[in-house]
Amino acid sequence: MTCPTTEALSAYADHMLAPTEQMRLGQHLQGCSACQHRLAELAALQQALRTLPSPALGLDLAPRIEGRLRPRPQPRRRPPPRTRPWAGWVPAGLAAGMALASGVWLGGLLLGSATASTPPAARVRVFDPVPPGGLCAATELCRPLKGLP
Amino acid sequence: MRAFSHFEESECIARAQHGDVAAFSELVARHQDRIYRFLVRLTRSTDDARDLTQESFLHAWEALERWRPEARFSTWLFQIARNQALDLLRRSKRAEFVALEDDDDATLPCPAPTPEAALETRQRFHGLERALARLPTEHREILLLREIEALSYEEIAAVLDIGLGTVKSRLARARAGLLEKMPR
Repeated sequence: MTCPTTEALSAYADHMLAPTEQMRLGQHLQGCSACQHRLAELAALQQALRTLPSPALGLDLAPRIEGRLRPRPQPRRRPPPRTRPWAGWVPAGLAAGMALASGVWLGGLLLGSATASTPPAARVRVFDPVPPGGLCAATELCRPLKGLP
Repeated sequence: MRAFSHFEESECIARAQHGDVAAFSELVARHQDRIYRFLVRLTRSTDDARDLTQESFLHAWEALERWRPEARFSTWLFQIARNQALDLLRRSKRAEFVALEDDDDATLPCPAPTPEAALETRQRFHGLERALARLPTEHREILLLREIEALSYEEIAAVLDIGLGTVKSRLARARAGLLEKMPR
C-alpha cells in the first residue's frame, strides 16, 4: 500500500475509515516510519487541543436571561364538540319533547293558513306513517281516531 | 442547589417546552460554559462570546418547540451558537485576533511544578491559541467541535450542515493547517 493521503490518515486517527481500510492502513503504518511520524504529529495536536485550559464565563447566566424569557405559548387545547346552544343546560327528555313540539309547529306552518281552522288531527296527519294516497297495511292503525273527522 | 439539578435533561427540556423557566434555567446552567468556550474561540472576543452565549440561549428558548429528541440538546445548542457567531463575524468582517490574549491570566489557569515549567506551558498554550485564532473560520470551528467539544462526525455534520465526507476532508485540512501554524 502506498502512503495514505492526509485525509485518510486523519480519518484513521479518528477510527472513521471503513473496517478493511482501517486495517490496511494500520498494517502500512507498521512498516512506514514517515507515516508513523505524521500520525504521531496528529495525535500530539489532538492531545494539545484537548488539554487547552477552558476560558471561563465567570458568571451564572440563568438569572440574567430569566427576565428576558417571553412566556411560551401553551399547547393548543382541542375545541369542545359542537352542540346546540341550549343543550347544555336543558335535560335530555325535555330537549327531545321540545324538538318534537317545534317540529309539529313547523308542520302547521307548512300547511299554510287553510289549516288554521282545521282540527288538530288533520295537521298531525301530515306525519302519518302512510303517505297520502298510500295503502295502509294495518287498517286498525290507519283508522281515524275517535272524534276526528 | 438548583431546583432541577437532579432532573434528567429530557425532563428539563419537556418542562421548558411547556414554559417552565426554572427548568430552562437548569439547561442554561448545564450548557453555558461549553457554549461560551466554543464561542470565545470562534469569535476571538470574550465580550462578543458573552453576549452571544446569552443570545443563543434566548434564541433556544424561542425555538424550543423545534428541538427533536433524535439529536442531542447540546448539538442543537452548538448549531444555534454557531449561526449566531457567523452572523456577527459576517456583519463585522472581523479578521484580526483580538481580546483573548489580554485575558490570559484569567482564562488560562496553568498549574505547574516550577515557575519555569509554568512559563513554558503557558507559552505553549498561547502558541496553540494563537495558531487556532489565525485559522480560517471554517477550519477553526470544525477543530473546536471535534477536538475540544468531542462531537462525533455525525454531530459535526449536523451542526455545520454538511455531509460526512465533507467533515472528513475539512477536518483533515484543518488539522494540517493548524500544524503548519504551530510554533516549532
